[in-house]
Amino acid sequence: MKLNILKTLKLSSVLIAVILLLIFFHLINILNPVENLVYRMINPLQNFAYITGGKINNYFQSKADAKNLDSENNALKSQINDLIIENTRLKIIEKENENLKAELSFIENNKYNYAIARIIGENIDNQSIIIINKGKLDGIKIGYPVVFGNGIMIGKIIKANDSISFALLLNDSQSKIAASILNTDNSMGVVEGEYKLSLKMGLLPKNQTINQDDIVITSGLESNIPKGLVIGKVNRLQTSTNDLFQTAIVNPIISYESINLVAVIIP
Amino acid sequence: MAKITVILIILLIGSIFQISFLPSLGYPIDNLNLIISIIIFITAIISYKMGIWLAFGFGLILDLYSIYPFGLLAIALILTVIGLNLFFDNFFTNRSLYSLLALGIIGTFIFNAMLAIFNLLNFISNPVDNNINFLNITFFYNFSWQIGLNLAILALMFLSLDSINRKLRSNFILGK
Repeated sequence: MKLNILKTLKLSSVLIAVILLLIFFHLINILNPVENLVYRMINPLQNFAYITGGKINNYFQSKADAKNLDSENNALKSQINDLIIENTRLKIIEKENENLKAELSFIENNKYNYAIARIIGENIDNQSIIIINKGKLDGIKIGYPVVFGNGIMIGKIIKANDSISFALLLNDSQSKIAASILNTDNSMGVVEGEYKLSLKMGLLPKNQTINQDDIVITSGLESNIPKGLVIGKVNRLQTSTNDLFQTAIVNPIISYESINLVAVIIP
Repeated sequence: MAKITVILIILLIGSIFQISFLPSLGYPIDNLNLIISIIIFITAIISYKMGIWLAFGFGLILDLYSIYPFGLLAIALILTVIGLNLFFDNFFTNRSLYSLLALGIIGTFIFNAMLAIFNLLNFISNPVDNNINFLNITFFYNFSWQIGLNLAILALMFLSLDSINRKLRSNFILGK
């Protein structure tokens, strides 16, 4: 048995020594061509695997959702009527606010550069860290915002290799974004993730009026993150008599699980 | 040569499944750690040597697609195999289904414990920018799912191999 243990430890020690050597090569960037070759070879398979998994997930999700369609349909019809009224009012306001629109930093084709990327996976033990198939060679750097569609922020780049990058989704508890609310007081605060379940916006002064469904956007106070990227909508407020601040629970506009294609804004 | 080809195929398919396919299936399936399950199965049922080579290979590939410093996952997987082998040699020696499941729990725990230790050291070095990510209820829910799903996959692998290989017989505790 002693011989067995010795043999066990010998092979393990050799492999750990090899790994330490590879770590050294990685740190001095000698392994970069090999790493990039591996990424290029595996990326198409990862795209296929991620899309296939997403389709399977959507299929089962739609089966579960079908049960709730009737009541959801009625609620949506009522919401449509309210939206028609609000839409009319907004069209009037839009004409009056053309000047203010220039200050809002929504993504426009002629204003920002961006890199379109596919999500190819997630970090092994953290489902709030997504892996995208673009990296430093595409101009991506740490701190750049990751958006969906035409300006919905979903996360921030936290690590960029040559060919792939890692983005932390907003609903992770390590995520913190400077934000503001589109209300009369233009309330400023910090949006944090809550254990991958929801978002909360803290440090909101108690004397400011915040309503349900107020839109939360990036405030532009962080470098590399432009003002005006949509984060979510206020769901409800949490206040306590002893606190100086109130906290808003924010719902993201879209489900982060259903996203396949994203854009990284390159300032 | 055939053995090396089989190992390379296992490495490629296992990695793609773990990094890309399982996460897209959503919660709770994305908690399954297929890599550690394969490594535990190979170490306990086939051979320690193959287990450690798989740990080495899987670790290096996962390190390319990991937020952690390069090499951490490879070392964590190799140390997990060493730990598994010690338990296997001294306690769970009979290659039964129950031994495999017990090793499954131990292996999953060892691997996650090492990542938790790294997270703790990270927090100690920079408490302002880092959180301790394992002291919350969500972590324990996800960890419980991981253990459950890993055990299910291990049982499936064991029973599949048992049905095609008569030399490996499932052992069940028989009551009198």
